[in-house]
Amino acid sequence: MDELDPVIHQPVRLRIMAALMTLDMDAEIEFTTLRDLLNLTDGNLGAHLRKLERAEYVQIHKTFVGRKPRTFLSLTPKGRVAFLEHRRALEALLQSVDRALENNQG
Amino acid sequence: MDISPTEAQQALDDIDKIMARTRRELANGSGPLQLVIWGLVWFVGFLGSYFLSGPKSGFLWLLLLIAALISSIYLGYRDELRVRYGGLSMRIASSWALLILFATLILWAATPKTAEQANLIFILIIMLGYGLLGIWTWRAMFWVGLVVSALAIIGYLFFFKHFFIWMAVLGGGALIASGIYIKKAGK
Repeated sequence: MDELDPVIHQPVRLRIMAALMTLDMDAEIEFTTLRDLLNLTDGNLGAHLRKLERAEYVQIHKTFVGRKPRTFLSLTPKGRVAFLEHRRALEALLQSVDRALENNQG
Repeated sequence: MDISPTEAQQALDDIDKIMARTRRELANGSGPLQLVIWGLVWFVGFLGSYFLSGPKSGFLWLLLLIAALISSIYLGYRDELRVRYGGLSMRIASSWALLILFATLILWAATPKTAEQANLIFILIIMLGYGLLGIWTWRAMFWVGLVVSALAIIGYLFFFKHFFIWMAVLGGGALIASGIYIKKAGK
């Protein structure tokens, strides 16, 4: 059975992972685009990204577009699996509660 | 790690909300806007073909196509600054360039008898591009290609004399409506 992942469960990190999960496998999102999408500050997003990077869930790719430095972000395959497992664990938890309620009523 | 059912439900709701928003705002990039722009080009261009003389209509088409191509390239570049798809944008742009080149060559080889016939051939080849784009990446485009192709064939077969105005209203209109619908629905 899938288990809840404490790294992902933190609300901001959960939102970051959900946003990155929506993109195609080989897609990367730019840092400020993700920041605006999630209504976060630079510092807040940066701190949570570092934790996700340490867990090897997120890949951070720094590059230059013209002369401007840009940071692009994507989920690693390990991050995708972890997110899916975490989501399944949440669903399983709710299903087990439903089953318990049905048994009590029965 | 223990959490309450309320927290679990809240987390799942958050996931759905963020994924829907990301899909709506980013997944298609400027695609819906580009559909609206090309729909407007068709609308004005085909109206020109219907109401203006040959050379004037040709000049209008040339201006419209240059403006639309520049805006498409700019919007594509802007998309790349926000989300990068591993070189996909360049491959799509190259595929369109190749398709337009081949459409021109096919028109030259087919030597169509009327302007309506030439336009139908060109429209069908471009819509083939939409269909292929739909199969490979952006599913909604498959249906756009199919619907506009069907409209073009119906207009050509049954409303030949008014084919250009048919394509302006229904062809251009279908592209504009698709762009607005896809943007709102986040397809």
